[in-house]
Amino acid sequence: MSIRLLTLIVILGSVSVAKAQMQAQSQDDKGHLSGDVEIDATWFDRDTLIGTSTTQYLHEKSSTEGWFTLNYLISGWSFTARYDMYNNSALLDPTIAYTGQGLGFYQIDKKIDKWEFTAGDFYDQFGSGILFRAWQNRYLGLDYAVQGVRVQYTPDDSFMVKGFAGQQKDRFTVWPQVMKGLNAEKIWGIGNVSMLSGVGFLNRTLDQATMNQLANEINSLPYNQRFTPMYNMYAGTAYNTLNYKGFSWYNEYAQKSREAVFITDDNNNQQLENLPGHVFYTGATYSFYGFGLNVQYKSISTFIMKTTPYATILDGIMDYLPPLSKQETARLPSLYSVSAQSQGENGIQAEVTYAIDKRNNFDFNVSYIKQPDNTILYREYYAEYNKIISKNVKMEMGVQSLIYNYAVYEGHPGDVVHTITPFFEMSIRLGKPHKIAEGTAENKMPLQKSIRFELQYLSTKQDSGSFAYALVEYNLAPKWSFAVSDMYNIIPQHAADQKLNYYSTFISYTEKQSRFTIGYAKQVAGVICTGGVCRVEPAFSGIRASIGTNF
Amino acid sequence: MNKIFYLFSLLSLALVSCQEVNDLIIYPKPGQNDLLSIDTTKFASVPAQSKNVLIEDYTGDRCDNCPNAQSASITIVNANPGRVSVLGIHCTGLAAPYTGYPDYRTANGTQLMSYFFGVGGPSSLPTGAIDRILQSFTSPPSVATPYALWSNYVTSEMALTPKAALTFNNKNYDPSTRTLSTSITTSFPTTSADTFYVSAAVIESGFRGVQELPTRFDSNFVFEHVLRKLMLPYNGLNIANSPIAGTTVSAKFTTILDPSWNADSCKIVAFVHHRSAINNSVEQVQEIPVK
Repeated sequence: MSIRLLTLIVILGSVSVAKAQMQAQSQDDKGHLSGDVEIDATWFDRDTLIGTSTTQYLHEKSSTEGWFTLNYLISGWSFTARYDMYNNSALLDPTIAYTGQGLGFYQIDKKIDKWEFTAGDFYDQFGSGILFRAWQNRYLGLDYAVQGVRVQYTPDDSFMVKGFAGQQKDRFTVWPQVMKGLNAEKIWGIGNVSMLSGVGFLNRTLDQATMNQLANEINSLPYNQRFTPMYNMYAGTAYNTLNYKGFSWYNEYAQKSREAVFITDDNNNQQLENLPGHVFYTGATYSFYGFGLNVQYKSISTFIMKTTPYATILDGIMDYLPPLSKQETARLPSLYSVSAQSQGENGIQAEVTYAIDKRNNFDFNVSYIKQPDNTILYREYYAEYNKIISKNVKMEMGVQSLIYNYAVYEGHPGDVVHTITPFFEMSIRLGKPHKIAEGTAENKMPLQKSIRFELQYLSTKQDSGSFAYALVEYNLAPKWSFAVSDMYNIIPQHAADQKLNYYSTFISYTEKQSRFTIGYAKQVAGVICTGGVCRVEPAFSGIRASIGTNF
Repeated sequence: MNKIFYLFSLLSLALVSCQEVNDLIIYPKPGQNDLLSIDTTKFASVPAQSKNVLIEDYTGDRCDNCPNAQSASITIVNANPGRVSVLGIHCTGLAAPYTGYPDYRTANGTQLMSYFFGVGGPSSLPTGAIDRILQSFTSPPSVATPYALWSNYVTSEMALTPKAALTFNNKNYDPSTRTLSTSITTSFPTTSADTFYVSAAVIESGFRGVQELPTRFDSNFVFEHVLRKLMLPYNGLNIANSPIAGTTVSAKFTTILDPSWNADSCKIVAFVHHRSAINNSVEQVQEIPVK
């Protein structure tokens, strides 16, 4: 009998036991069952012009991913199980076709008075997540859940302490390294000033096989570069949020002990070194009527938090370092997105929003990030103007200027990219807003028509050259959405290069809690970021379809 | 509540102060970075020789089956006097020293192990290489050869005709300074399109130490052919590219023997070999006592 099947039986058995106990307490409490399902399918259409050459284009031709999550809540008990499936998937690593399926997540959670106990897989974080964050992003193929046990004690609304021990998940298994952590937070104040203060502690212990591998590698280093690696990495953090009226100020300092880490040099070679690390992060926000200010500063020095030094790229990350860049959503302004560099960076970001009145507002952002040796990594100047022209027409326009260290962020040689990207967007509601009588059945509701245009132009002499982008989207809310777009390589970096079109079409249909999408797309190779976590992806050409629902 | 907060902080500090023991890292001793270099002194051409064979025995004092491999190599050496040389390369965590006993691993031996098996080392010990020939029965092909097969492969290797002949010239050992020097001279009896390298090592036999056996620890175990020093470059000094027949090249060898080694039981082992992704095979090997 497989361990996964055994786990499922244990969960189901626990549900039965819990239910029996609850029935003794209350015959009426049948609990609450909820869940969600998502299935994504991709068909790969090889296009040698844009450089689609990964294995799916050559061999498998299609892939499927699926997630089915069930939650059952009853009288303080919570049972969660998620079935994951990856068939020839490029999601976790775009260069391979990964196939695997099974119980991707399971959890039993029980609240007893001021205590909460969790066993199985769990997501969590300490403070901002700089020290520890267990999280997932299925669209980047990331799942940093911890498998183990967790206890939380919350004696009152102002104090919380929790601790856990476990191993980080590695797809359907776990990394052999062990981790444990403690976190305490307290809310307090002086007069009108309120504070949320916290401390966190994390310990990660290497397994013997990893230590043997490290020792052999260190024994192969030149004599003056050898060091004795530590089995245990200890890290701690202290953080505080101060709130006073419209002003909020966050500070965090995290330090980790010396351990073996791989450092990437300017030539993209990796060198094993024995280094401690630290992060200092501070951010202040202030809002007053139509004015908003957000200023952040962050300094990172070799704060590489991985379950093992041999975990590659995005594998085995135990924390989350927030990026100091504006999170763009438009196609060309987001083309060169960045993630925080755990090996080291110093950066500052300032964003000002100002609303002249209810119809006109501005957004200005400046980001500047450099390496500890003062090599520039990223610089952004961003200005945006939003105007509500009428009840039916909204307009947005702006410009972005970037400096982007291609070699560092993309992991292979390339010039520093300089861009200027003006952008324009207009949304027009067609017809008057519908007034829907209370109690109208959903299928009887009239569809609200609207149309949206996007125009963007990215000018650069580096990387692939300049692009123009246009999108037209027609919506029949809340059910239908149709979009066509094209990203046109209008001035390639090399005059001899072809001027390629990366066009895409997209249809979505929503019925109650269910949504179906399908689209044909060509996507330029580059960095794909979600929430400040980025991955370099090859070019894409093909059809993507998905169906998702929750209940 | 504050007490819990302070207790938490104290617990964190207490955990950080714990000390660890890790004896897996080898720190070099003086003279361990000795280099082979081309010797411009002209020596006489070396006459053609019969093919000798090199056994590299990857072993460890915490590997309970490794004494069987050592026994196999001794049997082969005794059955073929002067025709077989052995390097007993202690490596990986299975060769970590016992408390109060020396570390038999060497930095350059570990580099050599990584060169053939990756930084993690062989999948298991003992294992060996016979003239560094790639074995097709492993996948992917590897030099790893189980000790039970060593004798067969040694016999077939000895039947070959070597493309190089090897000898030692001007060997000298100064007991007062423990300085050992020689020239390793290689001649090529036939024209060849290959590239050739020479490697050299010091081995010691007959000393006693602790060895794990299947059922017990033997604190009086006699170690044989133990690699004490592998000269750099650990994977060979380039001595000839496409040599014509009659070419003779010498490499200079100078080192200082560690005071803990018994010079009477030490030998120099030198061998000529190839070095590429697909061929690291040994053409010829010779050994000579230090004293």
